[in-house]
Amino acid sequence: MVELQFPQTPQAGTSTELFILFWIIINLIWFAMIFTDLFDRIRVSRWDRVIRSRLAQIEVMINEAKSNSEGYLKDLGINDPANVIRNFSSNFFLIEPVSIEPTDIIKRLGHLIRIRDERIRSFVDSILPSTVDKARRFNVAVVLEINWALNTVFRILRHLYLFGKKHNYWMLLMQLVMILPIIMKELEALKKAVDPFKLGIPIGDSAGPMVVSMFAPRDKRIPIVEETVYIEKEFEGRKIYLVKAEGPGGTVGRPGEAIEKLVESLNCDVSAIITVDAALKLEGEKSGEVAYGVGAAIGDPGPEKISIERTAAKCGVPLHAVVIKMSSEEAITHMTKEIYDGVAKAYDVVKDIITRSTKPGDKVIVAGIGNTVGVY
Amino acid sequence: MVNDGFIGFQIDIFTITLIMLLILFAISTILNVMQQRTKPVREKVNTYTVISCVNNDHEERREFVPGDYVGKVIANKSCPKCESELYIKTIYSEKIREKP
Repeated sequence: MVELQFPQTPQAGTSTELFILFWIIINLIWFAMIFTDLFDRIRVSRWDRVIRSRLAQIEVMINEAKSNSEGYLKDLGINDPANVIRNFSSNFFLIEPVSIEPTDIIKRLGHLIRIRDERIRSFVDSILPSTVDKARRFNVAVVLEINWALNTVFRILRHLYLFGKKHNYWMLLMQLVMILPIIMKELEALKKAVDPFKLGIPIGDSAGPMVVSMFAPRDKRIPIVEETVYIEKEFEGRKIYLVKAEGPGGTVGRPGEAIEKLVESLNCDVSAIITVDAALKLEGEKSGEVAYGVGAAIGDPGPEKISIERTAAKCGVPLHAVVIKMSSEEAITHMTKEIYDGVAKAYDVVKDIITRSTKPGDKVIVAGIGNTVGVY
Repeated sequence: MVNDGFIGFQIDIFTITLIMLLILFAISTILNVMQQRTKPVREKVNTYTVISCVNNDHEERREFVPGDYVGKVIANKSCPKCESELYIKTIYSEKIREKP
């Protein structure tokens, strides 16, 4: 029989026993690491705790946005705002068109988006008293959409968490832990977006309409397509057509359709189309920086952008783009001074493009893309 | 052993390792808890309305009032310099970070 010999330290006795204990623990740890998933389970239980805590924080955010919106709706004369928000947040969806057959997908998507917008407008009209003006109706629609977005994201996250837990899908839980801080930041911004729409304050995304407003702050707006207007103005001997969403309510309008109609009515006699929009900055870039290039500066799901591109290509009109950079949070919350300074710079850039790339007597279209909340 | 007047105790390398492991475990647990309890930074938003004269010879800034919008003509008030119409030139906000 072989007797196990442990090294003896000068202070034999207690130290030897401690060493044996240490040796056993180390070996047990190695055994557990190699032959069991104990450590994975410990890690998963830690992830589980983190996800639950984050989801609870998101729920608090949703409730804050909801109570803020409820107060606003109540002030506008809605008797049971909680029920209105709940109904809208839980029972509204859009099924995207079939993409496996791409023929006319843009037309189908545009059609669905229009139906969706009309449904939202008719829902808002049905709940609001007739005394509420058009601008506030637009703002109410956006406030409801914010609540819908918060609710939808929360429900998806909760589904992923419960699904991962139910099926021991550890990778899913790990991905959730990794991505939740970023999602929470976006949701926090979305929650903050209720205030500007409630009060009718311009947001970062209003930068495009604000540039247009600088050209013609008080001039008469002529409706061209639904929720979209244009203004005719003389500038340095050129005739400029300013296109923007109908303000000061919170809407983005249909700038693509408006440009298409305008160019058609001018029989393609347009020397330049300039689109001005807010753009997401890259990390490290400053908010309010202005950049210009070529193309259609518009961030819609597709129908409006393609409309501008097709019109420009059909008539051979140069397409200029001017963007004002900002973070995703800045785009949907109160317009800051830095972004307003960017708007003033973009106004100068647009004027420069008009004078450099066209000659007196030419016709130019300038489209301010974005949500026109708080901007006439 | 010669007692040279120093009063203390001796521990071996394994005990030190065990104590070190326990300390590291405690530090990592405290850091984890602290990370989860990070309080979000509060932000106060001040919104201002900039009013301008149509002839651009006067400009003033005041607190935003609900109902203000860019392009709105200010009723019952005219430019102190040329008596022309005043309108809202812009509305912007300043965000002030407050310590929790």
